[in-house]
Amino acid sequence: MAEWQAPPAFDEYVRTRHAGLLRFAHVLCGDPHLAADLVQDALERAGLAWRRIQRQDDPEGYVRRTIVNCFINHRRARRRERLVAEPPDRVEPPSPHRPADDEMWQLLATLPPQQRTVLVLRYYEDLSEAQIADILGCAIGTVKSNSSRAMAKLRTALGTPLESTEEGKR
Amino acid sequence: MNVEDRLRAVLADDELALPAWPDPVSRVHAGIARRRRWRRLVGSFLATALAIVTAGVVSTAVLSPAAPQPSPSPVSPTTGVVAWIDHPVGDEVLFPGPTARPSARPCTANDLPRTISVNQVGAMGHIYTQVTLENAGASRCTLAGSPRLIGTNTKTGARGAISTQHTDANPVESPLPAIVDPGEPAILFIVSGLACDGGLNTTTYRNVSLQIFGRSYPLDHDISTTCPLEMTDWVLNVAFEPPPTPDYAELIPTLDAPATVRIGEPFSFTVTLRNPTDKPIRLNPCPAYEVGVYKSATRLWLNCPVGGIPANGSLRFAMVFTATVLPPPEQQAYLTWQLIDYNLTTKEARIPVRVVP
Repeated sequence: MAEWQAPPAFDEYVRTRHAGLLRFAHVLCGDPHLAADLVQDALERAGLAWRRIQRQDDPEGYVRRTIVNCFINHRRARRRERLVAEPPDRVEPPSPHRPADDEMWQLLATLPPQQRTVLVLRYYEDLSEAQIADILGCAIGTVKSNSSRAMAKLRTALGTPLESTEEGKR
Repeated sequence: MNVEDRLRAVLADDELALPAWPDPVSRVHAGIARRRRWRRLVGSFLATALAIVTAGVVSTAVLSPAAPQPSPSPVSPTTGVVAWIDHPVGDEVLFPGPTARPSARPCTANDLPRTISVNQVGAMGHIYTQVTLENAGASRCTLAGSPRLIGTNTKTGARGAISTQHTDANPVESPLPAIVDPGEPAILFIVSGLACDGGLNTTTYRNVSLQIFGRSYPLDHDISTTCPLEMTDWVLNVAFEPPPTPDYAELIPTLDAPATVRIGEPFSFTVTLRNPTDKPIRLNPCPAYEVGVYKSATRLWLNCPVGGIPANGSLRFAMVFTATVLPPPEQQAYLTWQLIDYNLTTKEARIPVRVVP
């Protein structure tokens, strides 16, 4: 039987965009291995649906949405696992990909996935609340509440007074 | 620096860039091929769903595509163009898979074999422990439900039932219920994974066994996971051969359409199907095609002539379509047209069109 033929545009997309997607996924999930899995998964799905995606003229949006959804679903599954999980058998060595502000990076890891996702889409992707709501399939109010809760957590942990922040000035 | 600025700075830190893959295209292709191999194992999900609904009736006719039969004279004698028919593809199954069998008595302990076979395969960060069990009884029976999993948690040393969640994410994408004949295998999958939790919090179970109808079968495989353990239902282990690439995949379509179309207004165009081969290409059963402009698209059946497309010849087909979504002004829209094939091996025709309100 005939093999699947990759559309040339898809190959070109994978070639040129995979590194950027890896970075986005890493920022999103904080784990380089999981980031690679998320990107691989999203690109495979995109390849199989490429014609439909191209028709929608937004392959990047599709792939990023897939990465976000897979990440949130993955974290939900992980949370279920934690209810019955045993203490870790082994400790992974710290990732070599750590930013200078390790304190903030570690704090991000403590946020629930929805909150972290909202912050990444807002402060890394520079998306509006409406765009974030569109990606997450939720109301703008949900984006706002997730964002404010996440920022409140960060401020509390960092001991930063509300008045000195962007949101506090509004 | 305030929290927002620190957040922006940390997210923009170049240390978070990951190394690019050495050969990303091959890597992704390999993954897609693996997905397609899974998919090919057993037919189409829709066929299964329909078959279950019609339980008790084995009828390939129910699942046959409702493709129109070729018409003796669809070609207009004046224009030489095959007339368009407004026959959308509805709920018909374009590519039927295997059909479910009539329901049978439930399997019991008397139908169980002495041993079961177990394999583990990895895919997409998951480990699939495949359990295969043959019907050792004298007649066809239905193996339903999920067995119990017993194992020893290496961390606590406790032995007992292992908690599993039911999953429909069977790697056999179109599973049929396990209505098994004597000697025939049924399979289920236990899905574990080491990708959850960043690979931490691994739970390992040793001496794992499966308990079915009070009998215990050792798996002879440890199960380690950082993800919640999942188990599928029993399904029939039937190999599914997808339909072969159709002859019409050789056809080369070209479009002749107006340069500008108005949103919401039907417009006419033609598709010329050229047969570059030395053999006529029959169109029986008739294929369906997908036509679209920007984000509007539809699937219809082709109006097929009895003789198909002659060797090294061509035939023009009249078409009608209505664009319903207006692209943004800077966006170049295309009219696209493609015959539908299970393997997506047919050639697509596309030409730019301007869509106006």
